[in-house]
This record gives sequence, structure tokens and C-alpha cells, in this order.
Amino acid sequence: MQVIIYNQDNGIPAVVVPTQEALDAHGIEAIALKDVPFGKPFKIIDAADLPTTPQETWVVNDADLTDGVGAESNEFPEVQP
Amino acid sequence: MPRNGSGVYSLPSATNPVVTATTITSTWANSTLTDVGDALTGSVARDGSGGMTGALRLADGSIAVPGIAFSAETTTGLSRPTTNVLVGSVGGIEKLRLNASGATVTGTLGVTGLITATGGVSGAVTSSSATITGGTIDGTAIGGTTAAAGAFTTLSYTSTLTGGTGVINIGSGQLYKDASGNVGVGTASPTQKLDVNGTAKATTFSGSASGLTGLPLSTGVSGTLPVANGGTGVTSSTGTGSTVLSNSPTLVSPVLGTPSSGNLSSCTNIPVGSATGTLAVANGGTGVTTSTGTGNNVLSTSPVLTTPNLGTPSAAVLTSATGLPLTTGVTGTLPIANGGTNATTAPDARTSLGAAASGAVTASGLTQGTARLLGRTTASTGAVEELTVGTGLSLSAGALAGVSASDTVVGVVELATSAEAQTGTDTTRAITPSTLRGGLNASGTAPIYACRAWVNFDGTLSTPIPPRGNGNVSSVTKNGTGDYTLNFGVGMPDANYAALVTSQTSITASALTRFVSATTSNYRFLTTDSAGGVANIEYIMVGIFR
Repeated sequence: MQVIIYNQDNGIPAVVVPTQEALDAHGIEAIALKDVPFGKPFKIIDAADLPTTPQETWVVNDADLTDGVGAESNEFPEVQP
Repeated sequence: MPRNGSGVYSLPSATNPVVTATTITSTWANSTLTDVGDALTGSVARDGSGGMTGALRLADGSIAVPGIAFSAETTTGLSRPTTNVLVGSVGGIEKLRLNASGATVTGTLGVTGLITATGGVSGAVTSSSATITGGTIDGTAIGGTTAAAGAFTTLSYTSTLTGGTGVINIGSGQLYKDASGNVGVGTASPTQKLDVNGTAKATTFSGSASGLTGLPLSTGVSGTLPVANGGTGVTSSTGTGSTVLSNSPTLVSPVLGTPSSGNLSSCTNIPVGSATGTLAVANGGTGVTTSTGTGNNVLSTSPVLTTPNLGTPSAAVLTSATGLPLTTGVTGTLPIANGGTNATTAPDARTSLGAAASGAVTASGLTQGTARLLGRTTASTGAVEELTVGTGLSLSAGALAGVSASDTVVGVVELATSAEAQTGTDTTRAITPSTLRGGLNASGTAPIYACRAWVNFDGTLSTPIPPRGNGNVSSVTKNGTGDYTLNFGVGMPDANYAALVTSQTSITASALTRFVSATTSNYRFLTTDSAGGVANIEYIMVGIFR
């Protein structure tokens, strides 16, 4: 499965695990735009690629967060019928 | 010494008069006699010898006793009765007068030579008895072209011949003017102003010709006199009687007959009762020759049409017509295009409108013509688009049977019972506020509040996996050890919701949670072990109520 990672203000990477319900309705990119804090760059990666160490020990270079930036809105865009 | 201005002679004063008792000398005699001789030489001799060398001035005299007269007849001569007038008298009677205006002769003027009057002759011959008899008139005297005396060949006047009331007779009546002014041609006894004894010829004729009589109209006049000239413009006629003029007071006869056209404006008392033929509507008639019924004609502006009945007109326009006896007095079918059903029975009407003759009327089955008869939002053909009923629509039982509602079809839906609501398997019946409570197994009357979001997930996330179950949760963010954010799929109305969070690692282990933050879009919390330290918990369950 895929997860979304981004660096928090304290420097610790956060891992966003989408629900299947949201994936089916909106897809992981829309989930990333909505649930990643506004202005935070993010990266969509495979969960298997995450280290097994506590995430407080992880270091993620912002330059590698290239899949998008958290949007201002915390709502999914309207789905056109 | 010459005479003075008055004609008085005086002797030379130097030597005269002679002094008494003195000697007359040759000097006196020679000078004095020479002076007398000169004076005599300057005087007129009685025999007229020598003639006058200066003006002869005489006494004026009078018409009776002229200043210039004759010893044998002192009453005949010339006189100057007044200034600028010279009169010739004969026997003391004036016969010739000369003044600044010219000359006047009293009595007959006999001329043996030519009379040349370049200024015209006016009043010279005024006497009614002034007749030129004997001899001839030289044409040149009165404008002729023949200079020699004799009968003039051409008589022409370039100026006005005035005066003269006497007779002019040329050629013994060839051209004759009598004393009354009548002129005759070929007759010396004209009875009219112009009396022609013979054939008159003229290129034009002007004048009113009033009083012109005696024309041989029936035999001597030919050709057609145009209407513009007072004629009829025709050469043939029919019928008898008088000619009918435009302002004839009453036309009695002949009858009008059958003219092909005419204009009878302002014509009254026409015997229309006996007239035949058809008077077109455009001409104010009815366009028909027969009629039925009685009473007055009905005009377009008649206030109320009571009788006759309309009958069965083939066409009519009843705009604004009210009071029509639709239930009793109208028969036949009203076409769809005119707002009707084109039928006389309900089944036929349904069929005519595109629906089945009986049974339910569906939107797809109900069509119409061109008018917005039923359920069309535009004036065109096609299926019913919408059907809006204000009040008064009633449906009999089963009228809408067979049109069951589903998740894709709008139709009739049956209400579910509480049992059916609790069973929760029926897909065709609808929940009511009452059965909703039974369906939720909620007894009593306490209000029911729904869980707005929930999730059950593994908080260890050593290998992230989707939540075990969830509702209205788009994702779970693991911010760090035991630190989670629940992101709502659809945001809460506000942040004042209640979050019920439980976490547990095993049946025997204990865990706690801590509130971090709550917004309309997410809820953040921490999980701890029994000692209170932040820890990843395997079973985390969250419910959001609002």
C-alpha cells in the first residue's frame, strides 16, 4: 500500500495512512492535498519502503518531497457527477 | 436822323429848328434835306416797291375787323384776337384759326392737292354731312401704297382710326360701314355688326358667340364637336328626349339601364327594393342574393348577439368569447393543436395524447402535439418533462401501481414498518421518523445523535496498513510515537464534537489517551502505556459524535 510522508514543524516525518474508503472515492493524491498541512511538501511512497526504526530517528530531505504541497483546503474537491 | 423805336421821325437837332430872322444856308438845307431823304427812303412805299427790309408789325385788329384787311372789304383778312392766335376772317366770320395746337378750319375744306397727315387724322372730319363725293381718294393720303391719284389698291392702317360715325362705302357695298357701326361685306345694308353676304372663312374664331342663331346645325354642320368644346364627342345617339346634364335636378327618364360602371356617390332614394344583381361586400353589400331569417343585419360592432344562432359556421374567431355552453351546447372534438384532446372519450383522449388508453400514465408514454398541453415546459412535441399540480390532484387506490421507486427510478414508495426497519433488508420501502428509531433499535423518546466519524486502526504501524474499519475518515497520520491525527473525510460542523478514544495493547494491558487538538477537519491525540509514557498502541478505536 502507499502512504504519504511529509516533514512536521519539529522535523520529524509524519506518515499519513489513507483509508480505503477515501482511496476509492478520491485517490491518494487528493487525500494528500487535503490531509497534509497547508504548505508542506509531501511524497507518496510505498509503505514497505519505510524504515522499521522509530520515526523520530528518520530524516527526510525536503528536496525529496516532490509529489506536491499540502493544500489550503481541508475538504475534498467537489466530485462532478 | 432815323426814326426812333416808335417810328417817330425828328429833324436833326443841331441845325433845327431854324432861328427866326436868320439866313437859311446851304449847309442847313443840304444836311436837313439829306436827313429827310434818308427817312423817306427807309419808309414803305404805297405801291410796295422796295419791299420791307424789317418786320411788318400791324395792329391786332379783330375777327370782325381784321388788322390786315382790304380797302374794298375791311371785314376780310387776318387778325390777332389774342396772344399766339391768328384768325382768318371772311366777311367778319372766322374760317381759319391757327394757334399752338394747330389749325382749325370752319366750314368745308376743299383740297385739290394731296392731304398729307403724318400725325394722323382726328376730328378733322366731324360733320355728319362730311361726304367725299366725286373724284377719287389718293391711296397715299390715307396710307395707300399707290402714289398716283385714283382708286387705291390696298388700304392699310398702322395706327388706330378713331372717330368717324359716318358711312364708309367701298366698292358700292363690297365693304360697307353704316352710321350705326354695322359693317357689311358684300352688302351695303348690314343689319348686324358684321354682315357677310357670302361665304365667310376664318382660321380661328373667338368670343362667346352668344346670340348666334340660324346655324344650319341639322344640315350644314359636319364633324364631331368634342365634349371639351361643349359637344358630345359622338356622332350618333339613341333614344329620345332631352340631354341629361350633370346637374339635372331629377333623372326621370331614360332609366339607367345596365351601365358597365358608374359612380352614384350621394345618390339617394335608389329603389333598392326592386334592384337586381349582387352587391359585393367590398362595395357595401352582402355579396349574396338570398337570405334567411328576419330582423336586422348583424354588424361587426353589434353590442350583443342574441339572435340568430351561430349555426354551423365553417370558420369563426371567438376571441374573448365567454359564456359558451361547453357542457351542453358544444359538440365535436377540439384538436390538440387547438388545446383540446381531439377525442370525445377519456380513453380516446389518452390515446390521442400519446398515452395508453388505460392504466398508469408514464412520463415516457405520455406525449403531446405541439401545444403545451401537459407536462411540457416548451411548446414542442416529446415526452412529458414535468408535471406540477397545485391542489386538487387526487389519485384513486392503485392508480400509480407498478411505478415503484428505486435508487434509480422516481416512483411510488411504500413506508417501511418498524419491524422492516429493524430487519434492515428491504430495499423498496422508506423509513419514516418513527420507524427510524426502531431501525436503530432505539427505544424511548430520547433524541438520537449519530456518530459522525469513526476508525479502528493499528497504532504501531511498524508496517503501515489501512485501518481495520472506518467511516468518514480519509486518513490517519502518525505524527510520531503514540501521536496520531484522525483526518475526517467530510469536516465537522464545528470543533465542539465529542471524541471517544480507546486504546489497548492486550486484554490485560492498559493504555490511556491524551487529547491534543480538535479542528473541524481533524482530531489529534496521543496514546500512552499504563505508565503514562507515549507509546504506539495496537488497537486504537475512535468515535466522533456531534
